[in-house]
Amino acid sequence: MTSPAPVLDVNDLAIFYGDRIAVNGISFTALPGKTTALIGESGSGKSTIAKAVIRLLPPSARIDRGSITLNGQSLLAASSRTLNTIRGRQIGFIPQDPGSSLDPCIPIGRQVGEILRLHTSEGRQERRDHALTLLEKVGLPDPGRCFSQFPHELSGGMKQRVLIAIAVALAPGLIIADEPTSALDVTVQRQILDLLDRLREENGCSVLMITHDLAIARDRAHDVVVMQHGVVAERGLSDSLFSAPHSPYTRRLLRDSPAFHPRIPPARKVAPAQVPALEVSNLTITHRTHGGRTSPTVRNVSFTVQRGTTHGIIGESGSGKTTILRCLMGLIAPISGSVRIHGADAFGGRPGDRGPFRSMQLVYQNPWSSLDPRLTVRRIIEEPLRNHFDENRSWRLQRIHTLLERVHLKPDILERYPSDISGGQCQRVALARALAAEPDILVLDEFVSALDVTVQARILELLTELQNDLGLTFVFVSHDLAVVRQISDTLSIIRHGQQEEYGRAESIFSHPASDYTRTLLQAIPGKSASDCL
Amino acid sequence: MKRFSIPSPLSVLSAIVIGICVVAILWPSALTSGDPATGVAPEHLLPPDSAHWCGTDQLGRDVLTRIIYGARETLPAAFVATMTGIVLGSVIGGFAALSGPAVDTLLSGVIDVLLAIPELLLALTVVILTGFGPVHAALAVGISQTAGFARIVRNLVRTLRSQTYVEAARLSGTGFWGIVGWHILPNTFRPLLGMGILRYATAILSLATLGFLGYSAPPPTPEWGLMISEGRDYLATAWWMTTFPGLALLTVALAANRLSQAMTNAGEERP
Repeated sequence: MTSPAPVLDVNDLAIFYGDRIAVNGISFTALPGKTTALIGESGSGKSTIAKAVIRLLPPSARIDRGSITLNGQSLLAASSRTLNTIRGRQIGFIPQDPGSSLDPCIPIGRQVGEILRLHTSEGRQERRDHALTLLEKVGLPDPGRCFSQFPHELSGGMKQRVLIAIAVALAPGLIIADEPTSALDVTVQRQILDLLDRLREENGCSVLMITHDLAIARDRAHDVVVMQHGVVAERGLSDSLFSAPHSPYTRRLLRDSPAFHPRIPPARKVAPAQVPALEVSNLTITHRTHGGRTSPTVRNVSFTVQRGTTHGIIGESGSGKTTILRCLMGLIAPISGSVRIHGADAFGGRPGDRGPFRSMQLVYQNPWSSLDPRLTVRRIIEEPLRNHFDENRSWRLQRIHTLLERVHLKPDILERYPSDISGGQCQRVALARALAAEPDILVLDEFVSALDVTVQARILELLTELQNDLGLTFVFVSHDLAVVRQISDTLSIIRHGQQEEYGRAESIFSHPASDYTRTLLQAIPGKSASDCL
Repeated sequence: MKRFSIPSPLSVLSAIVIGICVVAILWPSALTSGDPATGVAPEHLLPPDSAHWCGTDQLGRDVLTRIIYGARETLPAAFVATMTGIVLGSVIGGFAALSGPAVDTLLSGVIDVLLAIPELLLALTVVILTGFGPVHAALAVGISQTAGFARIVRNLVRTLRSQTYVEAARLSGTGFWGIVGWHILPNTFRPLLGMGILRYATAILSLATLGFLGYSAPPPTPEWGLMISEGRDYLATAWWMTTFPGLALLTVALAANRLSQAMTNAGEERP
């Protein structure tokens, strides 16, 4: 095969953080006009490689051996002055979090113009025109207005477009995209990836995409490098790698990734209960804006959840799904409509009465922030036991052990602090705390979104097991359709505070009624390949 | 992540400085055999030498001995001052943060007004109103620091109140006092400790200023601020009378500051 000379050639690269090896003997190439994906879970060393390529490793990191060659020029031997001319001109970098990657007090136009000022001899007016062309090229709706706007006036997707505009400003031969869409909604994610593909084809440049999302890699990449613990687990062309993975690790990743999972209808024997576990009707919630006016954030949402089933609430950021959830938990009161828990009106009593909500527990999205950093795991799980049960210490301790077993944790974790345990373990602890109050209904807020796919798969298995064993009812709030598809019986799709669609999960996935649902479904990466709806 | 990390050499040095101060407070005679109050008249105003490491003052008293005995006057007073500030500040700030918006706005306003008055001016006002003396001076400095602590505590508690884990505790049935006792107090402790040590250093300086102005202990107490004040008259001929007490003050203040930073950093290491 006569392949063109690679843009980037990384050979036998090893990087240490102190004595710990982060990257061990990595070799790969990035070809012009192709997308190379570096896949791996957190801690696999994929971001370290990206930083090594632009030579922006933190001082604690040390490149032990190996070479990085860009268009025949060694990057490891380059002086910092040379590197300054390479960064931006020959390598464009798209950072992970668009929210914190733009300077909040400089208008967009000047931030795009900066790279032109540094690397070209263009005059002020030329730069302005060039920046406007760039903003137009990345598909921003009104480039002229955008030019003088500040980052906080733009949405996440627009900010990411601006960052892409900066990255491609000088048509560099290599674009490094570090998790370019992980902070974005699924519909926006698709647009951004389409944009990247288009620019790659137009400029013929090479894209090095770092991602944890296998579905994205499958959809967009030509070459794929799968990393595990700093070494290459598998490397190959995207098509062959995904259809016939060699390494056990790749196989496990594929098996655990929800996007490649066929939906298995949950086989459970739901006794047709007389009273549904949760009944929400015509829920309208408003919030007060600064002027003292009220504006509805959620309008006329209704759904019913039968005992022992899972209801998924899907929406993008700002859709009001968190507001609904907070109302379900009794943290905010609705303006009209009702929430019935096991048939009893939850907001019927005096305001602030937590009694009706006793049988419901909430588990949060972020594994670390929902656990008090100053308490040990034992004290965290003990807290609801102290509050709800008038029993002695030894009873509580025994109960804690039972709960730990329930969520498959070892007892040696008890005296540790949340910062000392992994994200998956934290979520299990959070789950154990929620179960301690003996709820019937668990509300899960983006429960697995912050976790790696393999951990995510284990946690989802645990949820199914708990549901079968304890007959729990779940309300699962998420933006991730692939995950929700796996476990929900019924679904609500929320957009701009309104219910776009409500019904059985199968029928929504097979025959979406609204245009929005259809857009959402099409935007799921990996769908075309897995074709499992 | 490690729960305890190895402290930096500077932190160790700071801890040693504070340790020496503690010894000086508890057993000053262990560090020096001299008497801070009696001088040897013929040996007045001697420059530093091997017999008198920091020289002698106008009455022939050994400056080093007076510095060592002075730690007993200055450092506990600064401790009382800081504790006064922390306790009053925590009560006011905590109350503001935990009560409704009306009380919060009112108390925040009061805190703002107090913050607008220079601390030293406030301390002077209090000490003039209540009377002179070491205890009054310490309380005055404490009161002048209250507003600063109150502001910090208020903001800290408000931030903590909106943390997810506090909401999670509420949802698992913990009541108001349970949340304060289990979640808010333990989480305010470390930042407050770091802040307290930082303010301890400023309290030493404020007390020294009050002593210098003569509002604190009367002579011949070997209070550091007073010593600097007395040495001022001999600045041209006997530099050591002001320099060494000043250096002692500076060293302790720097050490306290360094320790406070180390503690804050240790607090931030945990996510």
